[in-house]
Amino acid sequence: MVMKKCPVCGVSVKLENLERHVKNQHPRAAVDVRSAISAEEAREIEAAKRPAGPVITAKGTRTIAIVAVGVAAIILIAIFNPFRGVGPSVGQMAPDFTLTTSSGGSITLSSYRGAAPVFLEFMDINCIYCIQEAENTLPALYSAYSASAQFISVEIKNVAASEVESFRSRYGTTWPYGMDTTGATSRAYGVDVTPYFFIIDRNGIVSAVFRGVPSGGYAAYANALNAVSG
Amino acid sequence: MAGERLSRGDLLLLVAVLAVFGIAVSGYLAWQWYASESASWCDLSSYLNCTKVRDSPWAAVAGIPTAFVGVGGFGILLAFAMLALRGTERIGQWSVDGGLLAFAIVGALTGLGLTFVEIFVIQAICILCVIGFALDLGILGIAWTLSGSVRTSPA
Repeated sequence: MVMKKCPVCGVSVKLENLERHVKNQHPRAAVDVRSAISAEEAREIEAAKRPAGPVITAKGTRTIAIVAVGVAAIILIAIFNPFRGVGPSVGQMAPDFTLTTSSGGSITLSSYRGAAPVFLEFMDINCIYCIQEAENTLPALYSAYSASAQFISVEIKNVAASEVESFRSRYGTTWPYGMDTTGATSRAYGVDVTPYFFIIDRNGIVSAVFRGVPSGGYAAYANALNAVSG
Repeated sequence: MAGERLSRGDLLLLVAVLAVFGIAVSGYLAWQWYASESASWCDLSSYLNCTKVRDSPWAAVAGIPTAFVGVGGFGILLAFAMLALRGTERIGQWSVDGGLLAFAIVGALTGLGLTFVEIFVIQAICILCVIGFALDLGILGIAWTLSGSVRTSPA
């Protein structure tokens, strides 16, 4: 509690009460109380007038810190998901698979080893980005590279083969669509979103990976295919 | 002392911290809606899948991401908590604790509705949306406790 002497009567008064004291006790005194108060004292007066906030305890601070760390950990796990399946990286052997195709045939990845690079897409016919790629990019890419590379799409959801066939005819994506009805192939490639692309060279080694639609669009696919088609 | 209850200040600070996390989560979801071309980073499986929820018609209204509702709602809750922490008890005729409780209830009801939409309409769960809903429920519980302590505290 800071006290200050009244400039009129000399009585010690609480700093925050000084102005009121002069006004009430010496109404005719021509004294500018504010000029007698320093800036630091003015701040103290403001602080004293402000309503006191509730008390934060040490125990509360510890509890809040623990809660904050826990919530932050949950959010980071949800966003970055360290338990996500890990697929092959660039330079690693692409896991082999044999799948029934939507047209009733069968396709085995390793059968292209030594023969042609593979453009492998994991997709879902109900995924908006897969539809956009099928509509805007992949048919043109297929026209340009079908002579030098094998195109394979894999439907990762357990949908009817007839629906995939409708999708193929609607968008003119005429290459084979494998049906990953058990999810085993998607897991082997660590597919957690669609579309997910792997460019595999003729030795079965992963040459490029695109998780989602690449920002470079057609050029990104074309560059990756050029790198393995030579 | 063991078993000692948290003070009013502790509870208000906890509301503020939870609201900040709520703003961060909602902000991330809004950014996802605008910025991401395809894959979301919070896809844990085909059912726990933020991308599927984000790509649904429920993710935005008139081109504005639904997640902005969360940013605004948690922002209001944070403002109430900060006001109360500064010692403000009333805004006009409304008590700050009452406002905090009212907005926490509105937020929890909104979160409950959107969670039902995820489960029964979209049939996929956005785990970050659920975390946002859980944060709101936590704030609602604290706001309820705060309003109860005011009602029952001696004059």
